[in-house]
Amino acid sequence: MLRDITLGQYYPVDSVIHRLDPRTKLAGTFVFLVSLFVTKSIYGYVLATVFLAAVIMMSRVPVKFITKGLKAIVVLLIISVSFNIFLTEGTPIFTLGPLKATWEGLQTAGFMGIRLIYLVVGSSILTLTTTPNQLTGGLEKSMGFLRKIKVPVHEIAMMMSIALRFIPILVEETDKIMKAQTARGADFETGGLVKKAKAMIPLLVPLFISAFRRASDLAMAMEARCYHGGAGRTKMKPLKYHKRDFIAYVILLLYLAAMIVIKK
Amino acid sequence: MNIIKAIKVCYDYVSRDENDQVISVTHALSDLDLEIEKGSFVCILGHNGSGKSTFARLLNGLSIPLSGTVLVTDIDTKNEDTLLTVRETAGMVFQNPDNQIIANVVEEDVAFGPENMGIPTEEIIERVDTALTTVSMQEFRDKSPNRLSGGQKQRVAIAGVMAMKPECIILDEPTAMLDPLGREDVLFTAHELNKNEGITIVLITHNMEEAVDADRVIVMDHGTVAMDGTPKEIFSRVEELRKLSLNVPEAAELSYELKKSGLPIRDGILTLDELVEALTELKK
Repeated sequence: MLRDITLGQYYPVDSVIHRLDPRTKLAGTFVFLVSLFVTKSIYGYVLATVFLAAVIMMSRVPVKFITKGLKAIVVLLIISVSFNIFLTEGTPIFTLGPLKATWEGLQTAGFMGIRLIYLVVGSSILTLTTTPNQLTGGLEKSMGFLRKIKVPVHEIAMMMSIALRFIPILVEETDKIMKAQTARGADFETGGLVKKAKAMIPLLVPLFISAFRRASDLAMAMEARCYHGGAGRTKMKPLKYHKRDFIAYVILLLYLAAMIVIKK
Repeated sequence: MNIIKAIKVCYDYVSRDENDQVISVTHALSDLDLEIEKGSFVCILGHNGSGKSTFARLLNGLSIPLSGTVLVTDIDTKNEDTLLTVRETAGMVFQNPDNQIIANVVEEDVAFGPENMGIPTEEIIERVDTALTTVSMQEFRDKSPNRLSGGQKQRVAIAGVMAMKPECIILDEPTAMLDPLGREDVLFTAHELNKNEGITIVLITHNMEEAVDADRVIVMDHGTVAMDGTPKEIFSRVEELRKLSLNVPEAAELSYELKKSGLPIRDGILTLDELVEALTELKK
C-alpha cells in the first residue's frame, strides 16, 4: 500500500521541467497550489487543468506514474466528496434516509475533488522531476534568510533529504517484517480498530529498532566522509538561474494573474 | 614508509546502567602495536569481537583511542584540528551498503565527500567522473541507488571515498552482506585500486578466501595482533588458526590434511589451482 505513494520518487528523464531550477519549481508548485484555492469559477479550473496538463506533457513523466500517487488519497477523496454532496444546503436531487444530496453540494464536491487531485498531482510533479537533493538544495537556498533568526536551515534540509532517501528502504523493510511476522502467525488483517492497532506493535518495534540502527550507521558514514555541518560546504551542482527559469517565472506570473482575474 | 602507525593502542567499551554505574568493561583493543606500509594490500582477519572493526574506526578518527596513539601519515587522530585531514587521507567503506549512501542519485552521493571538503564545483565534477570510471559505474551515474545491486552499491560507496582522493581506504567487512557475485565485484575493485592507483587498502573481513590475494595478513584476537605475515605463512599455520576459531581457505586446509597424513606435498598452497598443480606434479 505504502509503495503507491510516488512522493519522493524521482523519475529520471531529461525534460525542460527537469532542468528548471528547483527554486523555480518550488515557487511554481506553491503558486499552483495557491491558485487552486483562489479560484471558484469553472474557467479557473479549466485554466488550471490546461496549465497542469501542459506541465505534465513538458515533464515527459508517464501519466500512469503521476496518477499512482492518487491511490493513497482515494479514501480521503471519497469521504470529503460525499460529505460535500450530502451536507451542503441547497436544491435537493434525491434523499437517502436522513441524507439529502444537493446540486450545490455536487458542485462543491466536484471542485473539492478536483482540488485534492490537483494538489497531489501538482506536488507529485515537483518530486518526480526534482531529485530530493535538488529539492532540499532549493529549499535550503530559498529559505536561507531564516538562518538570520537562528533557524538551522541546512540541518533541516539535510534531514529532509535523508528522510526521503530512506522512505523506500523502510517501506521495503516494513514489508519484510510484516511477512516475517505473518509467517509466525501474526494477524494484521482481521479484527476491529483496536485489535488492528495492537497488531501493529510487533511491526513497529522492530522497524523502529532497525531505523535507529540505520541512523547510527549513516551518521558514522557521513562523519567518515568529512561531514561537519553546512559551514564551508561546496556543491557539485550549485543552484543558478538560467534563461528558462526567468521564462518560467513570467509564465507563472501570467498564470497567477489570470487566475486572480477570473476568480469568481 | 608506513602510512598507518598504531602505538600501544587501548580501547574499551563500557556499558552502564540507568544510574551511570558501570556494568561491564570490554577491552576491545589492548596494547595494539601495528604499522601498515604505504601502497600495500593488508587484510585484517579475526572472529567476531576480536577488535578488528574497532581498529578500523580508530583509523579515521571515528573513535579516539583510550590510550596510545594512532598516526595516519604522521598525523595524530586525537588532534581535532586535523581530524578532517585524517578522514580525507583514510577513507572508509562500511558493511551495510544501504546505510552509507546519503544521496538519492549515484553521482550526488559520490560528490558528498568532496562537497564536505569544500572543493570547487568544477573539480568536484571532475573527481566524480574519475571516481565513477575507476569503479566502472559511469553508466549508473544518474540512477537511484535503490535500483542497484548490493555489489554495485558497495562500488558506489568506494567511488564516494575515491572522490575524496584518499591515500588509504579501509574496508570494514564490505562483502558481508553481498552475494558471491557482488563479493567478487567489490574485491576486484579493491585490488584494482591498489594496483593501478597505488592506494593502500586495509580490508577487514572474516572470510578467509578474501585474504588469499593480500600482500599481508594480520590475524587479530582479543584486541591484539595474534599472527602477522604473508598469506602463505599464515595459512600454513592451520592449528594456530583453528585455536583462534578461524577457518583456513579450503585448498589450504586440504593440502594441510594431506601433508599430515604423509603426502609429500609442498607448503603454502592457497588456491584450488595451486593444489591441482601440486597434485599433478606429485603424480608424475
